[in-house]
Amino acid sequence: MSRVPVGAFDLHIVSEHSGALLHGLLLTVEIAALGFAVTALVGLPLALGQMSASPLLRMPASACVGVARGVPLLIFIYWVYYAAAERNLFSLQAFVAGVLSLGLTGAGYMAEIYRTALISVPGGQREAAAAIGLSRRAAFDRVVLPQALRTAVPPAMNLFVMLLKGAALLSVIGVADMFYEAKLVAVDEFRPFELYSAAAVLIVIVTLIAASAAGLAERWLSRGYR
Amino acid sequence: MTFRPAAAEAENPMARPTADRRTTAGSAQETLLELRQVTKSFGATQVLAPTDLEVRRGEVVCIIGPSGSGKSTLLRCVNFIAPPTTGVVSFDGTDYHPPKDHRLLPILGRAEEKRLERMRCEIGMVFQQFNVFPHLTARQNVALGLRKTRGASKAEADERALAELEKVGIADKADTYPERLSGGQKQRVAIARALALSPKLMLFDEATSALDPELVAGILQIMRDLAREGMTMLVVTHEMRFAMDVADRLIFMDEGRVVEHGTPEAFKAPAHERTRAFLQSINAAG
Repeated sequence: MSRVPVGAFDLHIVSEHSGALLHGLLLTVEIAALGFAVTALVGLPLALGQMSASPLLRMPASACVGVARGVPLLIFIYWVYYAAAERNLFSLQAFVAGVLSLGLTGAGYMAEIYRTALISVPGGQREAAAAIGLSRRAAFDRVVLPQALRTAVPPAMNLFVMLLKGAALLSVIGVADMFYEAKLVAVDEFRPFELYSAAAVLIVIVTLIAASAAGLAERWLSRGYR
Repeated sequence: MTFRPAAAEAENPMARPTADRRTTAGSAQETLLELRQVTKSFGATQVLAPTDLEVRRGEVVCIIGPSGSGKSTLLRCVNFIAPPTTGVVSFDGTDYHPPKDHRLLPILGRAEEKRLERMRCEIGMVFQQFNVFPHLTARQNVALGLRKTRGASKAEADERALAELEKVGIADKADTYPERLSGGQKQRVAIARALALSPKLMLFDEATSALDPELVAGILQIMRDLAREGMTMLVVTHEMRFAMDVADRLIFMDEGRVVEHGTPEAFKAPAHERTRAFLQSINAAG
């Protein structure tokens, strides 16, 4: 029904549906952020498990990391949402299934980010912490982890962007994220070019905001370093 | 000659005569640290042959030798930063044995670990590469140990940390991060960090080797002052003049074993050819 000539970019159609798009965007960011929280929480014990001297911890942790990184996100989503429900293992709301899919597949990557960041802290730091009588726990909490986090921020930021983009896949289980909304409108109005462009631009804007937040976090963790 | 508190003997009625009388000018003093047949291996490679060593309270013992001779390894065995492979370390009346392998169930090693943590609170260590904590200010570097191992409150720890920084001459840098400090200042922070816990023994692992030449003297002076105040010290060093001046005894190591052991006086005319060659090479370089 639009009066804009074919081939021109119809901004009007985007602004008309901006409410739905922004609502979807909010959901996308929400799911990605919660998913990221899951990766941050699950990734650390996986990393520590992988670094443990005890094979009883190392082997299961390595197996989890291998599975989490190896299974494609789309298959993971279908499995958590449909396959598990079909066998009555568990049945999750689409939103929860989405957060877990992103979080658990991401945790494999996050474990590696933590692990490399922890390894990058020079051994002398652990020795100095031990030499003043700190317990291993205190040395980790107060000396090793704060230094490792600084190294971990940039790759963790990359992971967050991956999750943000991965969230678009959740439309396959009916999560009304931004891509889902954009697709509805695009089909409805027959304006795929405008809607998908808008969706892409919005996501890019969010990643830029996230990048500057990561920059701030890195600066804060690097206080004292030049 | 090193000053020793006259009361040391009276305070320690249990002091036993030491085996090696010729090494100290003073009378028999209580042993603070004793290594008995301590070895260290990495895999099949033995980097430290069975070594005995005794350090009495208030004594300064300097370990010299070429790089790779096992000096640092010996020092790191003392506080189990690198646990010995075999042998016994006896510190302040308590024996410490090489840890058993609790790799499968690390929790079984927890009790022994706690003992070692308590021991390390009593032994200060200063490293060649300083190993100050880069994410903490000078004051926080010193306060951390006080808070975590002595249970000091933040205010107490901060106050003590400032006092320790004052003693090593960098109180004005208390709120500076290590990145902004010179090597000498970093090493001062590291020394203050170790001294804050009032250790009974100080280990110095080539504390001046990574410093610019003009900063070395300042650190050596702090170490001289410490020795004069009666601190027990085990010092790995290449600074021969310092060793000859300050040490009560010298130990020369080569290829993972103690080659020669004696007073600075005795080291002026070493008994072993290897020691003579080493001292000559050092003097030629200096």
